Amino acid sequence: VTDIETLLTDHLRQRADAVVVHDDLDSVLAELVTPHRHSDRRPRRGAVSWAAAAVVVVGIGAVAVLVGRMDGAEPPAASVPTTDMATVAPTTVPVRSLQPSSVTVFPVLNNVGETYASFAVPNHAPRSRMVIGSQIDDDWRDTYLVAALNDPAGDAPPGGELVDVDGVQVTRSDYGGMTLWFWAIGDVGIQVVTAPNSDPPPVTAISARKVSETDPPEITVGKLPAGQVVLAGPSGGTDAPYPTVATNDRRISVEVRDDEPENVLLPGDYEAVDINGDPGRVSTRLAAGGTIVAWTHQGHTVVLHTETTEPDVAVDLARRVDFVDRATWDATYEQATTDQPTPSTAPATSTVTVAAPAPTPVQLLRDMSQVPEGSADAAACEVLTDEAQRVAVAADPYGGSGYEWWTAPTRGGGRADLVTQLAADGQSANGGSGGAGCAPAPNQDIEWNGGGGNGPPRPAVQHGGHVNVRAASVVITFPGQEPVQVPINADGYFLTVLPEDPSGPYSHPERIDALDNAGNIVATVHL
Amino acid sequence: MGLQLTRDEEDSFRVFYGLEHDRQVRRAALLLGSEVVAHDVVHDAMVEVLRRWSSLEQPGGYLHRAVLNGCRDAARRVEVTNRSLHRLAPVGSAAGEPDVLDDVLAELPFNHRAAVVLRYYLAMPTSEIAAVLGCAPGSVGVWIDRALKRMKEALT
Repeated sequence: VTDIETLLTDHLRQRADAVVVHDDLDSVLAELVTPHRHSDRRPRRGAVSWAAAAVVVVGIGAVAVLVGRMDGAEPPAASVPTTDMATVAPTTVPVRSLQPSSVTVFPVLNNVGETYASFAVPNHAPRSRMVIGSQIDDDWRDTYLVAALNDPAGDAPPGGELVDVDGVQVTRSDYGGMTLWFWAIGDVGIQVVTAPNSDPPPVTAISARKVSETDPPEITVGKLPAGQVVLAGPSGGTDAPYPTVATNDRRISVEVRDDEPENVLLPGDYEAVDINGDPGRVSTRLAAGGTIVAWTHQGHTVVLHTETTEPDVAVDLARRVDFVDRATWDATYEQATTDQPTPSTAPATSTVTVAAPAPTPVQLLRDMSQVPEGSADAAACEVLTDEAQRVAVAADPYGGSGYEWWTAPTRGGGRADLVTQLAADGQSANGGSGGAGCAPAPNQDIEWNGGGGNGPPRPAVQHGGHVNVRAASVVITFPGQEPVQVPINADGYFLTVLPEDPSGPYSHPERIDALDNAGNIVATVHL
Repeated sequence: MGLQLTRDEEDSFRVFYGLEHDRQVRRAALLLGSEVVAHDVVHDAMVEVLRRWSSLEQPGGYLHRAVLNGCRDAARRVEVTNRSLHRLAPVGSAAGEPDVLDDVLAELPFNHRAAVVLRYYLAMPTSEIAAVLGCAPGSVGVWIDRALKRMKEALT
């Protein structure tokens, strides 16, 4: 090996020295510097103009799949139910719907020319909820929406940061303009939703116990802080209709809840609104920005969050939400690519055309098959994108749309990994990094995949991995720095993005420990 | 729409360009096997650095990553269009070994080739290569070992 290494080093140096470098400084300056000095910018080579045509929105405990722009009116070539949304977990998006070769459309929508959005309500897990807080006049302030979950590991929100609340380690995450706090009490998970910038929930006052594997856990509340009372008792889960809406590249999420509408947490002041005859509320006082609308529909409470800060726009979106039944939701239609005359009314069934699809993480994964055709490894390195899945997500420390880690097997038994930063539309991939292994990798207790990221002005370092032993979190230790603790999701994956420069010490952890629920180290890897 | 730079900023960029351009082109050429494409990639990366010149605290690191990403994209475009990589002209002796190594390098997937170049041209440690490529350190070792094995097989 040493001989070939020496030979290779010499060879590369020779090749590098042989390169004839042409200075093009003036050309670089000419592209950007003011016209009074230089000429106009030349077109970029190889640039591809992508236009968003499909958007994935991850709401509060919900997965939302937006589909393509409707241009045609051809009946679908085939109706293929593909995805049982009841089984969709927040971290497993139905990949087929993300690929431009097959998109989903719902025939109840008739606003031709817009982007069609549909929103799954994936979480039917038994749970119970209650609202605690203080009541001032007829309004509620400083409320907490508390949910007890049967599976702490499975229901824990991905990403987030561990904070100490009353001596309890609680994971804090920001979603959809609200803050989620999560911790485990034995084999029951407690999730609390608060307004952003609210105080942490009184965790020592909240306890839970599991009654059975199928029934919702029981929540009990002990001594609450002064002025706080139980405002609404526990409620169980139920089925819900499926909301769909037409929109244009606006990041929105919709969730159907089984709370009473007045139990929906709306931070600060809100205005009463009418949503197609149903009572609702709208609030723009979200620290994370955006607007939230809550209203009732057929006995269910619907919550819509959008990035717009204009309440009228959000209310208009809420009024345009259509609800479909399960069969309609499950129906999938193959994409057509021919332009058809625009119908005057919505057909019973519709065909969609995806124009200039955005580069999705799955597309980037597919592009990882970079072995030239004819090469011995070409077949083994092929990335099987039909089996791609999002295994972990992480918040953007700068408030962006966040990061996603996607994996897909390769035909040779290896795995392709991609960590991508979502673009502002919340769906398309704003670049990404990763690699593909053509052959199976040896199993390790802790697999680490990270250290890369972005430099200034918004430095960020990604750390992700998979833990093959039963553990609740990992502690990543960097030389000379404070360790960072990251929760592990139900599938054993972890992902976090630190606001640090990848050229610094946070790019090179020296060890990673996996901890169980009690904080005991169950596995360690030295890097 | 032009970019407003002060005279000092433009001068400092000129110095930066002089320090970085040459070696970035050479590295990109090793990664891509094409001097022409390497110049294009580094040119675009330099433009991006210049665009952010007033705000970048570590323009060298930014350029490094921009060139690598540009090479990856360029390699992908080459792959998509099913064009074979242009091989650099042989240098030095007329021995056949360099050509064989070129062949093996050209057949490697981009990340594998990048790992080899970063290790044996820039002498970067495994952890740094993994960080730059955004992959697991274990993958880097596997890729390099596989490449070396291929080269040994090709040479024998």
